[in-house]
Amino acid sequence: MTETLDLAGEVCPYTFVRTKLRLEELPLGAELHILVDHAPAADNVPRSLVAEGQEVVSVAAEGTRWRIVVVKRSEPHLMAKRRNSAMKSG
Amino acid sequence: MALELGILVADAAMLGRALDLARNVDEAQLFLMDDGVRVAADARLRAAIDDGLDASLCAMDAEARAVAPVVGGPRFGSQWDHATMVRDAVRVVAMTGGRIDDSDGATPGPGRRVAIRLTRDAADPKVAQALRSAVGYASVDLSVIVVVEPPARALLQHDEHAPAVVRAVATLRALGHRFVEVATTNHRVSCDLEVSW
Repeated sequence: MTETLDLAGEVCPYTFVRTKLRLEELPLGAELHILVDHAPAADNVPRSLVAEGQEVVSVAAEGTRWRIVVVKRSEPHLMAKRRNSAMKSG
Repeated sequence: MALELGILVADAAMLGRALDLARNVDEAQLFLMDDGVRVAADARLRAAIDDGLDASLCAMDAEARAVAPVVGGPRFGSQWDHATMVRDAVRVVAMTGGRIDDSDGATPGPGRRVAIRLTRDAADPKVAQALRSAVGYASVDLSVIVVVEPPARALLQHDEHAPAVVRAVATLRALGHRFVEVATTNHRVSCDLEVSW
């Protein structure tokens, strides 16, 4: 399973937050292609993903953008927190 | 070994004090953001990094202030670096340009409850920075409580704020984090550590 997340125009910390939210929707082993156009994100998003247990396969420049390819290897918890909160208030 | 001390500097004038604190512990981490990024080329900071201080800064804030990378200077990082520092450091000192927060003793790690205390007018750019950093905290599984002091009360009274503020508030709410309005500046909320802006 391969998905693409286009984060053109997005900046920190939303690059990481949106990546994490999308990863949470995917099954373990799924491949996510993340497109960013803010240079620091091309370094910082992969670094944070690795630190959180994901596998970064490649980071490649494509014109004015970068394509980060990551394989989901662990479960993030942002959405779980949101769901739990909604259930408590609902 | 847990990170002994994490220091947030969002006020360039606080660098000397931050470095004094870092010198007194075995393992310290420093994160610069907002106007704090202006010290990126400071010789005192480069000397501290040379001595082993782990220092990074918000690349976005550096870009906004035309601060370029410096050989031997801090790493150009992100709010993720800031957030993981606040999550993992045993002691956190925050110098954002107002009061100085020094939180010690709370158990570090995911789920740690961090209060972001807004002490300024909601239109003050520091409030946008505070909320942006709060979104970063949320992204590393910290539990965020935004404490709104009287000067920032407008934040909760209407939605006509800067786009960055509106987005951060919406994101924090969507992720289930809390906003608490307090009547006085000395009203404390239950949390593990505070960062005042």
